[in-house]
Amino acid sequence: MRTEIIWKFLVASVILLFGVIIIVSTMLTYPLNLNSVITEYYLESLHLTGSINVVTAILLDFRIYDTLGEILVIFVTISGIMMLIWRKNDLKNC
Amino acid sequence: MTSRIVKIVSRELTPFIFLFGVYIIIYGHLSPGGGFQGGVILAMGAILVMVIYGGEKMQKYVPHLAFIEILGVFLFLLFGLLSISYGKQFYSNLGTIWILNIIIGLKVFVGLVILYLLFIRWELSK
Repeated sequence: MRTEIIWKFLVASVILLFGVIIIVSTMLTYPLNLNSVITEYYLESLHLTGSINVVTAILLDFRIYDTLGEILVIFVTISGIMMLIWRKNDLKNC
Repeated sequence: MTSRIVKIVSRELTPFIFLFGVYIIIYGHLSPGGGFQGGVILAMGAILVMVIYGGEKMQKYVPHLAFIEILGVFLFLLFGLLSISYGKQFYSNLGTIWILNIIIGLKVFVGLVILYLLFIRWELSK
């Protein structure tokens, strides 16, 4: 009984230590300079792209290859699922 | 069997869900939202109808929906080639963000409906 409790505390402390290491290393490597040039560049999205919504401007103009990849991922997923489970005449009453 | 209350409430609620989805799509460049979000809302409206009233009758339209999906991919690629024909780079902006939003919304809507229709097939074939 006593060894079980010690073991549980050991596992919990290891998990907690891992979380603290992840948080500290993330905070150390995160770029804290938020007043960079590119922030102003994104806020000019109305003049650059014609879209007030900055998220849409980023998705459909600045990073449009990312959106193209997302669309192709959905397309390939649906193609694969149709290839696996779609047959033409397997349902009689539909 | 679904109850009568659920049927009537979903029947009255579905046009507003579709209207909200279309609003999210076509105002995607002016207000928060966009093609993906509006497409998901439209698909949720369609899936609500198919959950309540049964999706058996929609099963024969899966090839048509898949055709719309393929058409969406080709239209999206076509707008990249269109900017080349205007003498700019691939996928440079021509003021066509709203058309791309509509294409993406249609594609996501059709894609999620196809996924739902395919995943209920094995339940129907038993």
